[in-house]
Amino acid sequence: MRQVAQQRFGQTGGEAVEAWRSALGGWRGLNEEEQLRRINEYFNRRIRFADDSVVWSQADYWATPLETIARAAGDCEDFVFAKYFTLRELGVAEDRLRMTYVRAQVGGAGSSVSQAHMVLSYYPTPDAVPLVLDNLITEIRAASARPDLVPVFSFNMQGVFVGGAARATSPVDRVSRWRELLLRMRSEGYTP
Amino acid sequence: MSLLRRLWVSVVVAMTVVLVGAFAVSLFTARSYFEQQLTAQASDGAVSLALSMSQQSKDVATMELLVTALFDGGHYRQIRFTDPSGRVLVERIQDDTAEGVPGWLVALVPMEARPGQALVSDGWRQVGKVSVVAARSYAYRSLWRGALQLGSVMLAIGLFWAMAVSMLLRWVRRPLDEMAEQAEAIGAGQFRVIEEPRVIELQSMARALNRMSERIRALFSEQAGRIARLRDEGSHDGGTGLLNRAAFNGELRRVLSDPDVAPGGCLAVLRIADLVVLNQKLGRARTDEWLAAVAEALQDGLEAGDDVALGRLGGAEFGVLVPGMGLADGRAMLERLCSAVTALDLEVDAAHRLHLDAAAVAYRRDDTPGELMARVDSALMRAEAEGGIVAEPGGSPLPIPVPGAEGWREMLEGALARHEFTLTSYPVLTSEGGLVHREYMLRLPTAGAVLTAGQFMPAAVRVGLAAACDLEALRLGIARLGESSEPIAINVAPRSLIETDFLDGLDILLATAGTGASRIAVEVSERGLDASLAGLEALAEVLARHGAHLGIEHFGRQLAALPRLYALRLAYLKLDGSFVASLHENPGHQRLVKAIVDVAHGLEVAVYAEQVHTAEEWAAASVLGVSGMTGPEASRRLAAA
Repeated sequence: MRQVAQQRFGQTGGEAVEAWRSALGGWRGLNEEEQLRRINEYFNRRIRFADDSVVWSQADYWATPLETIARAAGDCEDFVFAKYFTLRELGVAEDRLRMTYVRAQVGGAGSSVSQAHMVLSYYPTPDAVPLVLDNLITEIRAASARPDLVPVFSFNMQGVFVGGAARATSPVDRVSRWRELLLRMRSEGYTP
Repeated sequence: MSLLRRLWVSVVVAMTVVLVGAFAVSLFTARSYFEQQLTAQASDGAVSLALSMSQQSKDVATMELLVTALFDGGHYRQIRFTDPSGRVLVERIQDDTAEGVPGWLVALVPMEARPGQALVSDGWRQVGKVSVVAARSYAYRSLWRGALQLGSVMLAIGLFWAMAVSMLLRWVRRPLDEMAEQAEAIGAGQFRVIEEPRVIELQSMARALNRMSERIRALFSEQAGRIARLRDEGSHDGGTGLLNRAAFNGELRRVLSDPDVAPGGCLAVLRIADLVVLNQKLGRARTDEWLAAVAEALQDGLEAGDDVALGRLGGAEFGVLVPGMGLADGRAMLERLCSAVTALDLEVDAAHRLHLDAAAVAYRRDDTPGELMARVDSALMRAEAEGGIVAEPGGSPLPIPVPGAEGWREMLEGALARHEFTLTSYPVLTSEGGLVHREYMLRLPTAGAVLTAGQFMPAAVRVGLAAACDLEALRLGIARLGESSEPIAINVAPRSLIETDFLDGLDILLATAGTGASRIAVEVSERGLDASLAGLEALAEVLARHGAHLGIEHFGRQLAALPRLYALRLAYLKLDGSFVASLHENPGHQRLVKAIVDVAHGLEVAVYAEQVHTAEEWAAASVLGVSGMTGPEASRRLAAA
């Protein structure tokens, strides 16, 4: 993994991946809440927010965690995916995590300016109010404490892999962004 | 299986494999495409349903409405909405069997439509999950229709292909068949030329075959021509083309000793008077022309017959030998010949017209050639002295009963019915004295005398009983097979071959002989066989079927037929006695016999000599490669042994 990053993104990229892997080793064995906090902090500090058009010269690019870490830059989805896969690797159950499309009010409570955004939601129980891992603020807060975010739609890996996850090379999978992202990750040698 | 058939089968098999393979690939490609479409459709349906549900109020009625709205579109087999704990809240399922699509297609090409799933939420709260499965029936219908269309197109292509290949192979086969026929024909002694085929690979072969056919024909005709020339040189007079004196004497000797010909007949001599004067007046060249014209007139004047011999005996002397002819008929014949020559109206000058003297004598078998020639000479001298034609009876009356046609018929039919015929045999020996076979001939004992085949067979032919007599001879011969282990030969009249019942009778008789049939040879005289050898082929076939052999006797005239006789799987030839007479002294006959033996050996046909009278003739024939002898000398040697 490191060599891939080094090859593609140079010495600093390789080192960043190395640092992530070693940090990940340190997070094992912590309770889930602590893991959430550490990971959220780790990525929010390390990764610089930047539009895909700047980082990848594409309008909308779903970067793999490796790419995001090596580049140390990404937009909201890239934060979410990096956090998501890191948490999954640490053993957080699939059905507790969701990628949630939200409408975010920017510029304070009275602002009418909003933008499309994505956050990672953590449901300790199915009925619970989730914790929100957001790249805009460092702190993890309950959804109820985030009046600036209006959830629109959420998804997780379950729907993607239903019925025949083994057949990853079917052409229809290549048009799904999720599957495409997973395939790219696999080619980088990262399969959480 | 023929090569062409194998080729056809392999092409058809390859073609079938290709077409079926193409069909299967296209079927499975279509299947895979449909599956992906169904999955994408299910996935999209699930996402859009979940999205709408997330936006609406979450009471069960609204949820049901949304699910039903999507479901009633009819493109989904199952839509299910479950709460986070997995309890089913709303579910719609419809039957998904494709009507009009055979069950075996569904079983053979199973189509898997993966369900699409999406999550429904109410704000931050999870409400549940929708799972959507697309209906496969319309995909199956499309697949079936496509398969039918593709299948019919492929079937059409396949049929067209098979037909085209069949036609191509037929086109190639025709010249091959022609060539095979040509090769067969060459084997059978017919040398035909075929048209060169348009198939390039076969052209050179056909050309080579044609060339070979031409060459073999040329070779055979050259060889036959050479033998004919040798025969003519040795036995024919250069100026007139008639038999020379030696050949005529040989013929005379044969007729007087051959038990197979009529035991009596008529010998006549014609002489042009004053040849010396003619020679002086006309010169040698003109005289020769005259003689040739006379010979031609004589030949035309003779009725064509089997055993009639016409020869130039000396300068202006011609001999005519007609076995079986009475003296009165001989006289009439001479009158006819003389008037034919007179009609030529050859004139030397006023004083000298061409004039013929002629005499005829009757003979019987016991006469010697020398005595007979002396008698006819004295008769001719009388004719010169007296003028006109002299006919003298023989020394003693001929022992031939002449009962007339009806009498003959009655006598032969009676003899056949009562099985009165007996056999007499003549041995054929190898040059070392071993037995080749015994040649059996019919005898008919009557009250007065024992009749030979030469006496009654001409009558039998006339009254249509030749075939019956020949079959009787064969029957008696087969009866003799059991008495010894000697091979036998039976004579068959050429006339029998064209009689309808003969071959069937022969077939039945040979079947009774069983394995002994391989010791039977049937021989046919070359005289009387027409040039096409009609009937011999059928005879050869019947004989071959039973393992019996075919021989030709009195051979020597139709030399050109030799290669064709080979096609009949001929076992042996018996050389006519006239070629054997004084063989040791006649270089012309020696060359001829040698040539015939050479050709016959090339064709794997044995050659025997007939009418071997002396030890000198025997030795000469043996040196020339003749492998069997028959005649008085053979009988003597067998008796001595």
